[in-house]
Order: sequence, then structure tokens, then C-alpha cells
Amino acid sequence: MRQYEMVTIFQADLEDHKIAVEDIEGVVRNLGGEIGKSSSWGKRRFAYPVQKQTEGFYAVLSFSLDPAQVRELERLLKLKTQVLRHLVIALDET
Amino acid sequence: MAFPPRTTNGTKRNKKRKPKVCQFCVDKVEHLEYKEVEKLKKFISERGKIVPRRVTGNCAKHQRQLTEAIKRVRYLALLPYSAE
Repeated sequence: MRQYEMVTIFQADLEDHKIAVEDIEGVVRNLGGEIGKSSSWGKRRFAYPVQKQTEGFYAVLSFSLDPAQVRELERLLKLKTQVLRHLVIALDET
Repeated sequence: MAFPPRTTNGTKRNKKRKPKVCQFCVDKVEHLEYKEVEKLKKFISERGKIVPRRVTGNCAKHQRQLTEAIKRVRYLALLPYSAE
């Protein structure tokens, strides 16, 4: 298990972002991860268009996960149309 | 016999430039967070480029952290890769 932090950008025009975030948390849990802190930055305007959209909803999630499962997590996130972009960062204990 | 150092256009350059100090060292920043977008904004040029160390006076350690942070934030579409 390793500590990770992930920023997910959702489509801005979703009706309920809470459900979207919980959906992602469910994905992490299914892969044997443990959810830590979860927070959201709300809607932010993009500096450049992403998938032809000008704004998105940002959410940050920290969790611990088996490093071997990270690729699977990324694959599953790519399949979700409501997720415009995601960034997984390994937090090293320093 | 000793001449003062001259630049190519003949003007004397006798004023020593004051060395700049790394702003992050002054603030005692241990690890630069990519989440603080406002802070990072100060270190990109009008065109969206990362400002070099020789201009800002950052130390090598913090410049490395800074570039990493800026690149992450660029991917998150909060800072431009290039701007007009």
C-alpha cells in the first residue's frame, strides 16, 4: 500500500458532483484502496479548452492503494465520460 | 595597466548586481505544493513560460520543485502551456 493523491476534473454541467465524487471513491475502494481526505475546489475555468469544454469541476482525493492497482484505476477513470482528466500523484513520506 | 571591464557597447559596468535570494528559502518552504496555483502564477511569464532561475533568483532545489509543480498544474488546465 502506498499513499496517493488524485485530482479529478469532472464535467462542469453534471447535476450532482457529490455523486460523481462518491462514484470515484467507490472505484478506489473496489480496488482495495482506503479513502483518506476528500475535498473539492469547485468549478474552475480552464486555461485552455479540454475536450472542447471551458470549465470543469475539480475534486482532490487522497487514498492508499496497492501500487499494482494504479494502472487499473487509471484505466477505469479513462472509461468514465464524466471525468475529463485525472492526475494521480504518489505522496512520499518525507 | 588594468582597465575596468567594458561591455560591447563601450559602457562601463562597474555596478555589481545585488544577488537575489530565493523567495521560497526566505519563506522556509519545505515542499512546494502544486495546489497553490496563485503562488505559481508569479513564476510564469506573460507568454506562460516558466521564468528562469537567473531572473527570479530561486535556488536550484526550489526551482526544480517549482517546475514540477507548474507542469502538474498545466496538465490540470489551471495554467496555460502557452499564451498569446
